[in-house]
Amino acid sequence: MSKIINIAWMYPDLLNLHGERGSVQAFEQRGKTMGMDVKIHRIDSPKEKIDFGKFDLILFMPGEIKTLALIKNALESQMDDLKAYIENGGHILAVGTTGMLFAKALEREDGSVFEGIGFLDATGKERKYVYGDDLHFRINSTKMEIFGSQIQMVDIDAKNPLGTVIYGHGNNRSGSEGAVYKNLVFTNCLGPVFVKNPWWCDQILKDIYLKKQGINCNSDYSFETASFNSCLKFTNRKPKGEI
Amino acid sequence: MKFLITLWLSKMAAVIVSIIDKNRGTNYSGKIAVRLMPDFVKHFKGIDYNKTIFVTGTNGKSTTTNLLAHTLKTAGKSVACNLEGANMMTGVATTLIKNSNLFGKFNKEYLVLEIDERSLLAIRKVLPAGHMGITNLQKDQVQRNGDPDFIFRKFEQAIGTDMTLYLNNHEPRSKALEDRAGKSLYFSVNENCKTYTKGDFYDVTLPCPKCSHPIKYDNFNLANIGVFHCTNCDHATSKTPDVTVNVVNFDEKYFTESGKKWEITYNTPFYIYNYAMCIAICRNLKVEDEKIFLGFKTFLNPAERREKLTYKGKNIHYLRMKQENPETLQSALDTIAEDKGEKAIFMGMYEVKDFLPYYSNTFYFFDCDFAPIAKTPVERYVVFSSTVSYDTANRIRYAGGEGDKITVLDTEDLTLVLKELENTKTDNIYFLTGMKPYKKLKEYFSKGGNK
Repeated sequence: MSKIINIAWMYPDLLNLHGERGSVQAFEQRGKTMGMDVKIHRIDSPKEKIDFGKFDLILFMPGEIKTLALIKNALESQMDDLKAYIENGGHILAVGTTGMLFAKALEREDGSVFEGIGFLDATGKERKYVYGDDLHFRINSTKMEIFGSQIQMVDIDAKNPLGTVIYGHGNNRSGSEGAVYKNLVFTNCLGPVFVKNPWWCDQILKDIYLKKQGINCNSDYSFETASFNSCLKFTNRKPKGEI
Repeated sequence: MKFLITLWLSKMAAVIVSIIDKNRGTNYSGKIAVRLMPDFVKHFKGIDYNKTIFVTGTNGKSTTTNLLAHTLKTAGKSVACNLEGANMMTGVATTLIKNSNLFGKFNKEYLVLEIDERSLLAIRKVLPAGHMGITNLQKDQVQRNGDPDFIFRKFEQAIGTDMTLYLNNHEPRSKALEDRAGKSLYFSVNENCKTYTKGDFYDVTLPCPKCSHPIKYDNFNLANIGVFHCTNCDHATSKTPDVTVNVVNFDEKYFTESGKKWEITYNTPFYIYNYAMCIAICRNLKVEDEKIFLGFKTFLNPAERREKLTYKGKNIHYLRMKQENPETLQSALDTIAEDKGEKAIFMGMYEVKDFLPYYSNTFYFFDCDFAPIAKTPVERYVVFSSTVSYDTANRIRYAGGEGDKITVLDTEDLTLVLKELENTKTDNIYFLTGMKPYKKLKEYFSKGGNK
């Protein structure tokens, strides 16, 4: 079994916003800290053929909305391979507005519609005014808490959110944050998100590493999670004051 | 009649405010006028739109506006200008109120205005300037602007064929606006001793504003400003710009252009582009080079971001930056990295508090390259801020700064910061902050706190 973790950094010059290249560095540095051999591969040109099978993780960082059309065209010519990668549990992270690439549709401010690739059951509507704020949320599956900033140019309606907002706007101020489909994860959170939240970075790398080693780390925490929630409710109901 | 009444009320308000409190806002009269009459600016008489010049862009607009106004005045022209930097509709209204008679007749020959990027469209609708210089379009104030394309689209709407544009030949976004204008003139700065190339694995450029494919640079004179070309379409640096600064002698403070020697008062690459734009505009307005020379030789910038201070015998190089603006931060970092001697670096980056909601954004640190600093001899880094000091420390660590050299002060109490300064061995101190701590420190020093 290979101990190398191969990460594709997609179109760095096009998806170049909000210092999120720092998150790519975070994967490299955190991997090294944990003794893993992490190799980052830049995919620079939209004309480049991508060997999806080579990568354990594919990173799409935030970019200007108008670049999404070009990127979608680039991926469409390899759609079968991309689909197989996602359906087989390949890891993809899409940060910021780039998440709309994998959504069903994005309505632009001028009324035009960008049709996304559609793996995420989500739609978006471009905002007239940008909204920037801090963002604190809890990942629904792991209960991990994440803190960062967000620059919201699109309000999003996602059927299967990644997390629940503790503070901030999230997808659309309704309490949901991001979206998820299998191991395709989208978050609005910036920071760089994996620099500010190395525990999330570590968890993704560990999952990938264990899977590569053929170790089936059963992540069925259903009883434990239910217990956590029950206890939390119980403590919240406790009468205030000293004994 | 409504215009005249609004004008009189505004002029009266300006007089009253100046008697009551001279420190009250620089654009108070304009605020009143625009509130009473949103299209107030449109009604002034006697403005020659062919002598009305907007200066806009992300970085350098205040400096270039000041330089241009100074140069035209030195050349013997009468000029109205919003020098105080009130660059939105109310600031423009204030400038016109100050420079018009009681009947709303503009009483100067030239109108030179710094214009806020987001206000450009609304201002141009009521004041159709014939000339506009764009310094550059970069990442800035993301909480308002989102991404650069958001501003680019606003510019596209504001520019018409009745306009002459003055464009930075080395900046891909602003240059891409060339097709929108009736005429575009380009200014450029040749390779010089401060020109550099990049090749780090984590370096990124930007998407072409015309076709979205990657832009490549042959070299850089400033962050994201250099000889460029698109990897797909023909968008590229023009080989025949209208103004080209040839040789730059930074030590002796001059450059050559069109075979002439231009003496200057500021000698950083950032300023050289501003001088070049000023030459392009003045020449197109038929101002003779000999008269422009005089302006450049005597220009002093009230908005200068670099200053030398002393604190108990130690030399402080103060570098003031705009928050959420990677290019001004990078420019400050480049200045520090040029100093190959032993130094201490004090960095006070704060939360962003421009408007509500305040937030703790520091992600723009990662749009900048801190590594060149970490490769020079640094005695210590002192980072201070009640909220984001740990993020600043982490950015330095990511760039290779050694953890044991980093002191984190999670406070905004400048007396504690200055105490650390006293505990620093080197006398060569760099102090990098935004405007708020700068003002506090200046106030403290003015009361003798630095003695």
